[in-house]
Amino acid sequence: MLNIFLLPLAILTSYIFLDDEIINKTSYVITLTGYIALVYLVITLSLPLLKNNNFKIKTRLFGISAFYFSMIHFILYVIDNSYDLTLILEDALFRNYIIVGYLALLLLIPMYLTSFQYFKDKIKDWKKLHKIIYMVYFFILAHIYFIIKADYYYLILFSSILLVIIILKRYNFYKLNE
Amino acid sequence: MSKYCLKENHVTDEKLFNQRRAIIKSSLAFSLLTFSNLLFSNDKKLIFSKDMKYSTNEETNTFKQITSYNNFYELGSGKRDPMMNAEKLNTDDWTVSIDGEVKNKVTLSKDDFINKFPLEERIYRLRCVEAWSMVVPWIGFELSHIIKLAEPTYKAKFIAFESVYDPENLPGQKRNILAWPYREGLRLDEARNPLTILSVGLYGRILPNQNGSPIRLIVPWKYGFKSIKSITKISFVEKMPDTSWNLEAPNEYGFYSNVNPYVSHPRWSQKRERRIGEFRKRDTLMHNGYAEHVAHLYEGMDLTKNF
Repeated sequence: MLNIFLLPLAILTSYIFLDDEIINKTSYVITLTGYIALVYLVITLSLPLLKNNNFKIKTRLFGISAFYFSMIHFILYVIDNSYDLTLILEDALFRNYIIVGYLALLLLIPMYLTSFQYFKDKIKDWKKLHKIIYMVYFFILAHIYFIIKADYYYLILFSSILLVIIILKRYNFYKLNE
Repeated sequence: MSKYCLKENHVTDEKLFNQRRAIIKSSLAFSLLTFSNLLFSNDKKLIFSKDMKYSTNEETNTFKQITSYNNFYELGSGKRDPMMNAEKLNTDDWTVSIDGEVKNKVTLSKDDFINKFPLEERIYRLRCVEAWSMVVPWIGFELSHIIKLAEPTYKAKFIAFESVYDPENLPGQKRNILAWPYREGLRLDEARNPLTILSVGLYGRILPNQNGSPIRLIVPWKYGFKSIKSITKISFVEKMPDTSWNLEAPNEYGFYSNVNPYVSHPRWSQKRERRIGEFRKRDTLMHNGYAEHVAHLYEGMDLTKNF
């Protein structure tokens, strides 16, 4: 946890505070934490694809770190709106990018909880439950789509990554069942 | 003890000694080079008067903030890209053609804009459609001077502006992010409003490339994207001209694009904005606080339809 979540968080925090080249810091850090959460999700999905998979524990750590980063992303958004409930509610009801953002965040919660042994014991099908990670990924792509003005570069990049991961997973699945 | 009392490390190496003339020459050349850079660089100070009538007395944003947080998609779509890629915009031999429904078709060089018109400093609020804002001390002159010079005919109802097109050098134009070249437009009465200026400088100096050098439009009561950068063409036209963001998303960016907290962007609210440098957002003002000068231009118009 130290290496995967706390250390990057410490580096990120000091970078944000120390680098005076970053002009709109609040907006920058909100965007950045969102993208870090997505990159962690990509790593969580990709690690099991490695052939010599000695990464079982780390996969889980990346998953929960993705959850923590998305929570930071969300909390910063709330702070940025001065905790003003009318503004936050208006966003939640009328802004597409906020709505899909909430959906992604809500779906991460059951996955986060069932990553702990206590809930794993209670819910035997927790592995099936974790398939919702693809829905989360999809909602994040929609979240990005709804906020882009014109340049779709990152949307295309992360969509392609998902596509490659899905193809590789299928390929591995057939190989195992040959 | 030797006769001359010189230690080994006090003696100049023979190789260096033999190159002594070349070393002196190169250091001279270097200082000459730096000096000539000082003479011809963009650091040239402009001569201008200070406007009191239209300028705000709010605290201005720093030069650094204004020059390293830009939307100038020709130089890249990230906020820092325009600063990083600034040198890819070549403004040598820059001309602006003024044509269309006018009596005097003229072509002006970038020096003409500095020398021919009365430059003044206008400190304006700038409100981006992305809900951030700055206060910028522009140096420029009223667009009405160009209108007087061109003498539009009775047919002219709008002005269409066109920005630089150079896909070979401008990284953003290598991809079809927007319909290039960037295009903007104003109704003729909006263009004649004394608030509307063409800017050639900032903080008393020539505009840095990332801010739209050598000449750009400033329309402070409209969202920032209306203030087209690096203009190459000004045409007086009869019909409402196409504008790049309107072509990109017609339901999101209208022709007028006046700052209006009561009409939200379809995807986000326009009620508040972050002044760059401040932590808490502030309320956005109608017409960006310039309503007393411009509200009459839109009397009787439904601003939710003519957004």
